[in-house]
Amino acid sequence: MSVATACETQIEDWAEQLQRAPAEQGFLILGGGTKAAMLPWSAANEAGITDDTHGPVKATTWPLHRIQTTYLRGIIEYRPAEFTITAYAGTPVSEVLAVLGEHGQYLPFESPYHVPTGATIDSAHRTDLASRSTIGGLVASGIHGPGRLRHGGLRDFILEVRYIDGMGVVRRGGRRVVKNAAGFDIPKLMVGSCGRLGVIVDVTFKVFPRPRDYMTLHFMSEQLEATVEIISTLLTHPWDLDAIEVQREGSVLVRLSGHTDALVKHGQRIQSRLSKYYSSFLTGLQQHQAWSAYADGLWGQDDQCLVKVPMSLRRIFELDEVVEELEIQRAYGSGGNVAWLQWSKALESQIARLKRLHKAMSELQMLGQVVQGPSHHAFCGAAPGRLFFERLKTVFDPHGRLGIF
Amino acid sequence: MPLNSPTIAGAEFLAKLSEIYSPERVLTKRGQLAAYESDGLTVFQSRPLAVVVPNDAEEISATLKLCQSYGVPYVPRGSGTSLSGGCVPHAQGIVIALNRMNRILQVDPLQCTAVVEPGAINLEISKAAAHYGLYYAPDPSSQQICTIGGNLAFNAGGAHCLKYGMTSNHVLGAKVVLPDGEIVALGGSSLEHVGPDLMGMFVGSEGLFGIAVEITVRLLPKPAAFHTVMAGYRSMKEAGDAVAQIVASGLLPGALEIMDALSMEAATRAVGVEYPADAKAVLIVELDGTTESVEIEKVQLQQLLDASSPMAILVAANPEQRAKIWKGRKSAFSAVGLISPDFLVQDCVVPRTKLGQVLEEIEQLSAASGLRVANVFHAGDGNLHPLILFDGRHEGALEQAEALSAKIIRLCIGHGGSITGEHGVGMEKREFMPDLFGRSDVEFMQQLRRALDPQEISNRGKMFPDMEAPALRLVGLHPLESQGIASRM
Repeated sequence: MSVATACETQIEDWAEQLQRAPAEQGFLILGGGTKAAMLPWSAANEAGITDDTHGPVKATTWPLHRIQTTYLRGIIEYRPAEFTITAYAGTPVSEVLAVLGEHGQYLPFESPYHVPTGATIDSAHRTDLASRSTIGGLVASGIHGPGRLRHGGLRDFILEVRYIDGMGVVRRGGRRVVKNAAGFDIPKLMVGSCGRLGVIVDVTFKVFPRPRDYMTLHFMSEQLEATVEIISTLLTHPWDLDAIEVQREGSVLVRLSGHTDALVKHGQRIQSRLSKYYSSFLTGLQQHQAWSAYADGLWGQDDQCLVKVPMSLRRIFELDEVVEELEIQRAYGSGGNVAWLQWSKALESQIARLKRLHKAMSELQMLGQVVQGPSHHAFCGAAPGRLFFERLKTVFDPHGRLGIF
Repeated sequence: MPLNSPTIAGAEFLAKLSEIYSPERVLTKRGQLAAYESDGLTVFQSRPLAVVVPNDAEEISATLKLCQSYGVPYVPRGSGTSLSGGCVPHAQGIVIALNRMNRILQVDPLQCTAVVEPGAINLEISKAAAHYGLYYAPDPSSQQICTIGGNLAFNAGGAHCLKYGMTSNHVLGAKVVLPDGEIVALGGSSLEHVGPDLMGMFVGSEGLFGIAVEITVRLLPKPAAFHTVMAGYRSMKEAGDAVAQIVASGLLPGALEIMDALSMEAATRAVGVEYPADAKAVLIVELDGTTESVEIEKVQLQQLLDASSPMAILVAANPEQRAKIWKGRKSAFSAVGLISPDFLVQDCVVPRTKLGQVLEEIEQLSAASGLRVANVFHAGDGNLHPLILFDGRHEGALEQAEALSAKIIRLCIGHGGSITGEHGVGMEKREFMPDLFGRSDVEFMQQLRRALDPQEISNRGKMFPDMEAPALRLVGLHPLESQGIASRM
């Protein structure tokens, strides 16, 4: 049996399971299992936190029926001249990146675990995540890397998705062409859906030519005010920056990409515009190490709580103040468009702090996604658009059997 | 008496509308309604019961609640530039004209965002942001008059989509009024989101999910440098091959556009742009980015173009020449009106590598039908705009043009493409949705629509095929009649 035939048989089998299962049977959709917080109920009862961000959790039959998407593995279609690639959901991200790399192409939003400058991976934990992370998991979690700043995130590159809905019907949304305005944009809806709307079985992405070279400017800023000034200066100038990431220690990594000959001159212009801040050029091994250390800082520990919070530079001070009080470490990514909140303590302490963070985020009317940490706490804070989501959910998953966490 | 006569049909409903709007903002007179009977696709015409002109979200919410309780369909409308019949009124419903809600509420240079009302004109956003060196990237050809609300509803594109994406890639958040009048916030002011991408789902929903009343868009720094080149070719195939070579080289131009001889003729007559003599196709390539990168890439581009054996190459030497090239390209649709009394414009997408083959097949279909087809399109992303020329004064000509149009659409679907790249489905292409998605998935989309709008009153008659949409089988009593409010005479 060919790989594709085996995958299609598996998809049919899952569809049938969903069709036959009783209405109260919950299903657990698992990819590479790299985001522990999205695993189902375990410590949730003890924590006393209910997920009130996207509707009450429905009581379901325990144990949940498991759907392991890593059984679906392989590139279905890659058309370099069309800038499109289609892969089964369980295909490792590494495999997709390698295939694209052979044709000088890449996923511009980047994987959170892989460092595009070619760094060696330092932490064992991130090595593990990078090897297990699947393409369907990226979509379902909506987590991407620093490259989001320049060309867009996962949502901007997803073209088509095939999925099994909550009633066991295999459906398709979008189209395998780089431009399409027909019908509802179900592929985008699937980005960040965390398995609540269907079992993603394959995904098509738009891809881009990979930049020829990278160079990084490293700024140091001791105060948050200075960091904000650096970022806003960078963002409002036509410098085509690839990534702007602020590490916890207040160092700002600014990545440029393009032709090697142009990068140094370009970098010098940026440096001179921001000359009041100390900065240095990073290239070659130094650059690789800096970005690898950055990724390790976020993803390198296995006993941490990590929360992604979309934000804007306008709100950075109020968020920073709140999390400072909670003794939570933070990094700011995508040019100040996302905060990564992080703490590493015993489970009990993680949950206690998560409860406090949930309260604080609710007051700020902000929503965070817990990507690593105690299970069953996928979101914290206030969710906008809940009414819209709930109504759509009644069609995708009428029995409420998917995404029980 | 026709049902849509305002004096008979909507007495109570209109009275209630008048409680929401001051008299000058409820239009019911025949002369007042005439301007709203059609949109950019003039083959569809329908006179609404009334037009209301809200000032704010609360008035829209109250209007939708009223429509909901009386089961009256409504159509949101901006400047009416839809090329798919997307805002053609429903004869037994109202039009909600959003033109008064045209303010740019905020331009935030720190966050690189703008917050605008739905009636704000696309180009006005860039003008407001220009002071900060920022601009709004999506640039549909009608950007001087089209509104951001319409852009959002139909996920409008433009010439720079290959590199910069469409409207959905630049809308970060919106306050929207759902069809039942509830107001919800989707997305936010961040480039990032968590949870399902609800904003992404709303964009391109063609008004079926409700009305966006306050929209946050992303602004980009205006590129430091442009390099715009026009190359003439002896055939469309040569121009198409040049596109393939440019894309394969790893260059990512801001725009890659092709115009054929008919389009060039029209643009020359309309705006005086001159194209290489005897060229059968012209390719427009625009590089943008930092000064350093454009300097390097333009050498690379020149080598690629030289190798493609063009008849002539014109490089824009200054911003005025660049503007002229773009003026010719962006005027092409309307300019075609100068060489043909009527035309239909298509918006299919095909895989880029199929461009040459599809263009040849369109030419064969054109010859067989006896109708001329002009072509101007976004070659970089395979988005074709065949313009089918006909004379509506001749009996059967429109039907003949529509038949050719249908063949072209099915041809593109057959090649793995889409029925629309940036104009939306609207009324014009709804019959082809099952061909594209299959009946089951189209029915699923209809279920999604009904989950938000059980009565299907929001932009009724758009996107979904006639025979399947209950809204389009609206026969018998009008909702107002069934409630004893109105009657036919």
